[in-house]
Amino acid sequence: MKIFEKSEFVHESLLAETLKDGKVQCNVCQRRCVIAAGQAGFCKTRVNVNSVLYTIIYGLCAAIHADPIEKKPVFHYYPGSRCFSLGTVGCNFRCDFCQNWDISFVDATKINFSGIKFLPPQEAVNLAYEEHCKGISWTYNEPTIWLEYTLDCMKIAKKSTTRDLSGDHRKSHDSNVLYTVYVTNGFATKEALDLIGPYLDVWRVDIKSMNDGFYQKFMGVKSMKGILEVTKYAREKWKMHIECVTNVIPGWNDSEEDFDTISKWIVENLGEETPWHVTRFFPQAKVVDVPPTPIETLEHAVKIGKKNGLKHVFPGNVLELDEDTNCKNCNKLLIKRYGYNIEIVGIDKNGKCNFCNTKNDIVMG
Amino acid sequence: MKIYIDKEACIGCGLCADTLKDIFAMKEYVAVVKVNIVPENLIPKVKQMMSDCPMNAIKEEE
Repeated sequence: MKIFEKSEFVHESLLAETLKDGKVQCNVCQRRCVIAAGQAGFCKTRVNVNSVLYTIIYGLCAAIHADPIEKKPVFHYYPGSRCFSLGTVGCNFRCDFCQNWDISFVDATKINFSGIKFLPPQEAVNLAYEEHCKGISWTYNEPTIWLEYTLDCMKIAKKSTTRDLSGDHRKSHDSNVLYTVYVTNGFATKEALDLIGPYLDVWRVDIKSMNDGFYQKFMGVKSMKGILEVTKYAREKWKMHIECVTNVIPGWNDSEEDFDTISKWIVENLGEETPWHVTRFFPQAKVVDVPPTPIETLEHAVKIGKKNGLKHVFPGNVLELDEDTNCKNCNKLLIKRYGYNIEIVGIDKNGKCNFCNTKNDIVMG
Repeated sequence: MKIYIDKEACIGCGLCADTLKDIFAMKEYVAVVKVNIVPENLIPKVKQMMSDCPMNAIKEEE
């Protein structure tokens, strides 16, 4: 493998367990791949060499941007702030409709690393400040696959201090350090979450469907229940700020039942103030024969989400529909959005509505 | 139809053993095939599973 010629990308894996016959089990994501000697796991970023598992993408940045945090999408954490965003190659899913297929479908064991830049964690944090970002996110493809790198970055971003989990976690972020965001499919293990939990503020998770058959067919995983369990764990144990996204694909996950079950689960398990983003699908990757999601379908999802008790349901990837945040109590406008233009109009720095003084579950920067 | 598991490729996710209990089982971390010949009525489901296996580790014997 060419990667071993560029040793800075190679680090011993965390959460690896040695089995017999030279095999190693990776416990970073819920696939828990059992990897034979000389082989890589599903994500093709972790390789068993002589019964030791190595990640081969440490610091391998395939995408580096300073994005508005709204692009994640995250709407209720430091709204209007810039977020330094890093992505790597590979993924632990292979969604036929992936929007970032050009990096996520890459087999890291086969690429030529000679021209790829290594970005050490300290340099990533320095760049975030140089780009006037208030936070750092790991996004575009599944961040769990480069757990070791993201963990080292977030420790530096937090200046080695762990998050304060006492009391109201929404006051816990120290504005002298960067906030941290995972844009994730939620398929990390609890063990992985326990490593990053002390340093990770935001868990922006996809709930693509509540139907195991959907995940079996498109992601090749047995069940999506683990995603729900880990997301609940992120909320209850690690007190992360959570926002959920469902990319609505016509004919696949756009039924009334889909919208009903997802929104009910969010209300019951994460709370009524958890933002739910229902985003418009556009033909991507291997799915080019499905039309973009009709706008009426997104309106329907918003209506069902609100009927089930969610206070904030946002249509995404669509300029025609309202993406504003209104007060959960008096319904007055708090944050005005048009695309990535953000205007804070009716909320103070503590998240209180200027009109009725109700505290909304929004962390202001 | 005869099938086998590529034991080097299988990551032991258990999708096949969970979905088609009459055909696949888990043993020593990886999947094994329980039958010599796939019953005629299950061939379509096995073919589907060959395509769904995340590692393409289910192979048909030549």
